[in-house]
Amino acid sequence: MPTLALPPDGACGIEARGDPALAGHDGEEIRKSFQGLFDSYSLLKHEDIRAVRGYVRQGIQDKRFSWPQPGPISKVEVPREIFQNSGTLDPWFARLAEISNLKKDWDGYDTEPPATTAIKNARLFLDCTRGLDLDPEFVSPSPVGVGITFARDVREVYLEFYNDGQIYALFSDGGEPVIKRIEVAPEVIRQLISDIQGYLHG
Amino acid sequence: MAETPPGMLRSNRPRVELFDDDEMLYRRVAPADWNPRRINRAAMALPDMSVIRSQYGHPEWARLEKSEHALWAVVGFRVGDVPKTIQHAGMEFWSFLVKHIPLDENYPHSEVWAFRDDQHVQAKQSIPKEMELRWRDQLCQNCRPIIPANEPREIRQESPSPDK
Repeated sequence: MPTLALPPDGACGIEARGDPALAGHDGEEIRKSFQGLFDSYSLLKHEDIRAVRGYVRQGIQDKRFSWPQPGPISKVEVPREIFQNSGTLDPWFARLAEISNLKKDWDGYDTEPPATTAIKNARLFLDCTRGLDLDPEFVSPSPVGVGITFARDVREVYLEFYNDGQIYALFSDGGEPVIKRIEVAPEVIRQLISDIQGYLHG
Repeated sequence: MAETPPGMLRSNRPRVELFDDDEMLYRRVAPADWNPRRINRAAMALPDMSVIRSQYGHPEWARLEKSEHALWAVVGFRVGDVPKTIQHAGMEFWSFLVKHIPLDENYPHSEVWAFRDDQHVQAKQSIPKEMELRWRDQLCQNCRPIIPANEPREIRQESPSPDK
């Protein structure tokens, strides 16, 4: 089965469509929208898509790209350069790569390394902050997953990407914190980013 | 691991359950997860969080577990700053105690234990996430840097005087 595959860095959202001139569908445009946090999307056999245009959402901006292909596409991979030029975020993606190589007892406290799911969700979240004025204070392994801290003066937002796939956000200014469970869905993540910006800069 | 200081060895000394509220507890933090401006909540966790108690240990002893921890940061907090109780979801009553758990090569080793309705909870999956995040937040408000990351320190060999 043909597959649209994304690299391990993932993306926050992607939209791909068939080119009607190349797809041989009598001018009928084939349009497939893929919105969400995902690694790959499998095309149905009858979807004879021969070219793909799309975009990767980077914060509030979209980066467009296309792959004209001479024949039927069996596998489309998003070029890695799409995910480069992330500016101030680069060290944090490097940190996530380090975290993904941790072994059990990495801290001498007999702690398990963060699970792949936790690292993937943290990476997808960071992808969503590209191009925004939102630089983490910490991207760290925690005993239960991966923690990302944003901070400004006394206000802090701590995100825990748990090993079981759940995400929680803690908003704290030294008083009673506000804690929210975050669903892994693009619109929820975008709202969370907006909430973080509003909290830190409000 | 660096050679264990003589004062760190248990040497048949007893478990001492009494903690003064002003006694300090130390925990190491990886250099990448530390900065001098604020304490990283990812460095704290339940259940049974390991620390070194200041009555019988020095902060630099928290770096002696493995050679790769030799230049890790050390953060600390008072026993009295460990959150005492948290009511979760309106019906679960959680409490927290510092327990002295001496090891043969680490006499000052202690742990922060969590109790649900007075029962010691040791399974990570039994700790409610929201409750644990609230606990970490409260603890980190009162936690402070003790030894910066990447800063060598002389390793004292003798146990601190209990009356200091």
